[in-house]
Amino acid sequence: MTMSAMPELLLEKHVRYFHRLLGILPSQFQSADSNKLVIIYFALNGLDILNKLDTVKIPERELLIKRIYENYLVLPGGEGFRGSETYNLGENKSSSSYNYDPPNLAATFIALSILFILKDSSIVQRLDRDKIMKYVQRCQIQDGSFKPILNLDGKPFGDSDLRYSMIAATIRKFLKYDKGDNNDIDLKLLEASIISRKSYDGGFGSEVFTESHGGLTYCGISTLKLINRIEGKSWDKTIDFLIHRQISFTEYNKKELEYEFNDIDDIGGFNGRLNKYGDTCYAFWCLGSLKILSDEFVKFVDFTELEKYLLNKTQNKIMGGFNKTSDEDEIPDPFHSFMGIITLSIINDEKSRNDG
Amino acid sequence: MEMDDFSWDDIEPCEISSAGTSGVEICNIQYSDEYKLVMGYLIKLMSLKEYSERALILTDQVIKLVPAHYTIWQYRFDIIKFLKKDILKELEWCERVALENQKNYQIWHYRQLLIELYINNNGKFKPEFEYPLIDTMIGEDNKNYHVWAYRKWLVEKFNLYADQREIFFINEMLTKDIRNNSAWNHRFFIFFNNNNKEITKNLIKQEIEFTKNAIDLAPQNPSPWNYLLGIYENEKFNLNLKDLEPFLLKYSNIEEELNDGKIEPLIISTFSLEILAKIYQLNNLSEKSIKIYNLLADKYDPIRKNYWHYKRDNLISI
Repeated sequence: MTMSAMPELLLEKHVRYFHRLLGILPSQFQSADSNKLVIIYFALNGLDILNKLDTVKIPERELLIKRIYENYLVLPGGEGFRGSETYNLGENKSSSSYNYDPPNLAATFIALSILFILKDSSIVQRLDRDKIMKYVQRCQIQDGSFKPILNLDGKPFGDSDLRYSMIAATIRKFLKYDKGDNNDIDLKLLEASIISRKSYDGGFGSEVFTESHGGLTYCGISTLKLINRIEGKSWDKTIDFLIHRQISFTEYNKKELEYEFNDIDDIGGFNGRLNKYGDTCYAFWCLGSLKILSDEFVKFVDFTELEKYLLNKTQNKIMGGFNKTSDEDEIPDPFHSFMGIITLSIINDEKSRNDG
Repeated sequence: MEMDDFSWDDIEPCEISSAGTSGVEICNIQYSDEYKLVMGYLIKLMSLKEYSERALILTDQVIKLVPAHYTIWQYRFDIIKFLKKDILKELEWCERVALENQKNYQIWHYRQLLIELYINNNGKFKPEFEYPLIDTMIGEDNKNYHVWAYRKWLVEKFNLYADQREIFFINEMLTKDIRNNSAWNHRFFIFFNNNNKEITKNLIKQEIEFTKNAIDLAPQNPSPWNYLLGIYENEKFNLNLKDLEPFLLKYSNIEEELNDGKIEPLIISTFSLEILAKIYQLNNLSEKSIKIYNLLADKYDPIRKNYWHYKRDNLISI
């Protein structure tokens, strides 16, 4: 009897991949320099999910924590973190006026996450939650959404898509902010801005009337969850949108394979938009959205097919980590590697829950 | 103009290293010499808040090296304003950068800022100035999310909802690729946006016909199905989903399978089955809906088996 080739998680390779991210990186990573904290986050969180955080030894953790606090900024408009030391203008850490080294909402969310993952106990003494929330509050704009930074006039600057709403709501949750706290954000406006981005097919887009997108749907739903606004709304269309992102080709739709964006190797995986190819990260965005909506809804996903897709098609069997798509010529990147690992861990949890 | 065309002797570039101020090396990126030099000057000029021609050239270099840099756009914008640069020339620069790097996202927001600045200074801006760039970008990637969002912004900013060029563009896109969901979405926006007070019965009828024809071209293409449901399930339009039944039965002779199961049915679209199940439920024919959900789960769409079972079980519990 031949054993069927059961797909396998290459645990050791993934652990080595995440460790490499913390070490020396080739110059191709230059273009990701502004997101350096994010790379650290994916590496540590990836190891944590694999239950291998203990391979990051205490001295290294202490150095990491030290490095994170190096990016903490104190400004008159509030406090927060920068994304990489390459933004450090070499000025005094606490500046009396706005400059080109402002805190960034995404970096603040990531830095806090890392400090939580590393269980840093000094966080309460070293950070001022009211001042961090003051910065977040000031990044909120009229329509309820958020921009990532404040400019030299102390005004919100940049794109205001759903990602920053989720980030703002997450920071608020991290800091245990609640109604009545001094610098709270406007939740009513935030809720309205999220709802306005729900599209005719049930998914969410970056702005009002932009195309539904798996990742942005996650941002919308998780924001509503974080501010306790999931209940009392109909999610039928959203669930329908999300569950249809799992890719399947059968006898009945095989003609669709003639279309350039459809690929038989994507079966079991998820796309983020209609008629797009599969991508490791959308498995998480869709699974996560369903899970947030209800433990019951996440079971709609075909876990076996998804697991096969991730382990056989996007897991990088040589380097460890995960590729973005099923294209064999790709190399893994920190983001998709983390997304692959976290999705498989959700699947594992669901499976063992059903067994138990 | 290049960086070499300017003198940099008066400034000492900052040292760029992965070690940070604490000397701890984490995520030690092996920066190229070019990167270290360019970023070293940038940090210096930014901290001096220098708004000059050489600073402008420098931002061009940085944007090419690190498109995701989150303060560079603000800095460049401040330079443009301070030097009172020709905004149309800056839009041309913007265009070159967008074409060089399709994945440069922040540039679209920057472009909006420039156009708003131009309007502030000159009063008027012709939106058609933007069409060649959009055409080229969409030609490279017909589903580029940011370009479609930019086109939507343009429509809102310049009130182009009723502009014939908009629907011409959408139709051209859908003729080239009927599965382009970005084009379908833009279509929904143009016709059913919140500003359109003229959502007439004729318009709705026209869109239903258009969509039905599109479905006929490729019955398993999900985009027009979602569009069709988007219209039918919009409470404001006051339509009855049941009216779709004859159309749906064109894509599935499911009645025969439901009756005796002896004839192998011809299912051309699983989406028609999904909607039929809803309609039978509305018609209090739950038995039929249940059978359809079972067929979807077991035969036509087994990857979503648990979802179809859930739908079925909800009917049973009613």
